[in-house]
Amino acid sequence: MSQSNLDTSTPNTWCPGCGNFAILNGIKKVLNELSEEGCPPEKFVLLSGIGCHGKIVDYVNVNSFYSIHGRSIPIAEGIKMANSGLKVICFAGDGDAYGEGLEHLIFAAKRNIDITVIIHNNRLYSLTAFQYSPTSELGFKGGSTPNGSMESPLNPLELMLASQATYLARGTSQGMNLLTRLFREAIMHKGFSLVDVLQVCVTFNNLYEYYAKRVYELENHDPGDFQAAFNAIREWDYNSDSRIPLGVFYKKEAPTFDEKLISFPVDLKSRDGKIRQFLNKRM
Amino acid sequence: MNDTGEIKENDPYLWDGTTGYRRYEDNKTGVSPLAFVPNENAVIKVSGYEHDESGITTENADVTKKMQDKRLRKEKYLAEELKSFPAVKTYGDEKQTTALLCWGSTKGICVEIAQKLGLKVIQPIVLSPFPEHAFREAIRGIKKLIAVENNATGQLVRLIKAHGIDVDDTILKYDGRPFTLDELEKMVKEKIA
Repeated sequence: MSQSNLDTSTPNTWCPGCGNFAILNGIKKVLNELSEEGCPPEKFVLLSGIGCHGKIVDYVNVNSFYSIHGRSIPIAEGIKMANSGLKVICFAGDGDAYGEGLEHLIFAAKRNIDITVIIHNNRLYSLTAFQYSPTSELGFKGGSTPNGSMESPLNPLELMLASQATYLARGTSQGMNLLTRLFREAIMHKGFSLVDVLQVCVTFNNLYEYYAKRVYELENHDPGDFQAAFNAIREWDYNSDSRIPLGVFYKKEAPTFDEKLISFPVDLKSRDGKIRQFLNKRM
Repeated sequence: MNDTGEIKENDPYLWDGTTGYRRYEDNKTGVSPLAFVPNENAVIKVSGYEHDESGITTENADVTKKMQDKRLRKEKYLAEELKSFPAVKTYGDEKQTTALLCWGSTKGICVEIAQKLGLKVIQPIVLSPFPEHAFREAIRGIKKLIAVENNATGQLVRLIKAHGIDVDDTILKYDGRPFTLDELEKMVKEKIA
């Protein structure tokens, strides 16, 4: 199947040079690869929230749910629980998932439900034209903070690690090879996976050069080591001008919520059996 | 209607697979056919944003109006369908010309008071689309209609007024507590005295 088979005929309205194109092309490449390997496109459901990223589902000819602000994750969880055979991928923005829908994100990670979350993290609200977001740096001068933001940003990966996510990675909209590899790994990971993409907004916050000078790919890093993951995640706090590590920070095998849900009636039976056994002894 | 007398069994309007699937296909009733993921012949796109028939975002004025018209048509169709459901319930003495009007949590106590005082009770259980036809049937022959509501402004009174129906009296309680039997009985007796 060629990449064009996943295209829709709708015109793309993102700004020329937007980092969203890298995410769109990356995901189409991965979906095509997986399709060739035997996981057909109809097995996928893509979700998006509100923000410039939201239209990504209009540009991929695959089942989708364009949801409301911050709510792609609970819908994705519902879809996964209804049919655990589906591959469910959420696209969300930093304002969308780290702001409005943060509680959903934390609980999806906590219950380790087998969905993939890809964050278009441009570190500001671009659709509403230039306001500071949960990951904007301290002092960020946006439309709503002309004298500079008074808040330090969240480190979303640190928060996700604390929330028991089982796959955490970071890519950028400049590094397509790495980004595609991370998307593929995240989708194939059994459990909750999140890829934070430093997606550049050329119109309001053009950080292409800033990132190009600072990013590097993690080497000799053991993603199975929680402490090493913690340290690597904390190397950059989304605020300072330190080096910015990219790649897989953390990866862990753990039972998923959806598989526990499926096995639940069986557990109940054996519990029931144990209670009966106990009662029989007493009677 | 099933055994409980409440739920009418209806088959869903499923996609027959003969034409390309469009989640929001426009048609006579405004109700689009349903298909389920995964289906190798259907791409199912759901959207909370204004969309075209295939579920893709639109900012085009003509498409926006066309899709809005589709939803308005669907509402009319659903209102017609609703006529075969018990959308307005009545309790108590059907022959009475005085009725208590209530909705939601005040129903239980209204029925109890009505039994005690020999009144009729009218309770719309669907508010939108408002079952006007069934409501007018329910108030036929009623000379005194008294609304009993647990809010400060008479929300149901305002809703039925929008459909050209007035109540004769209103009992409101809005101190953050439900009606008690003794209290409501006293209030109703004052209104019907």
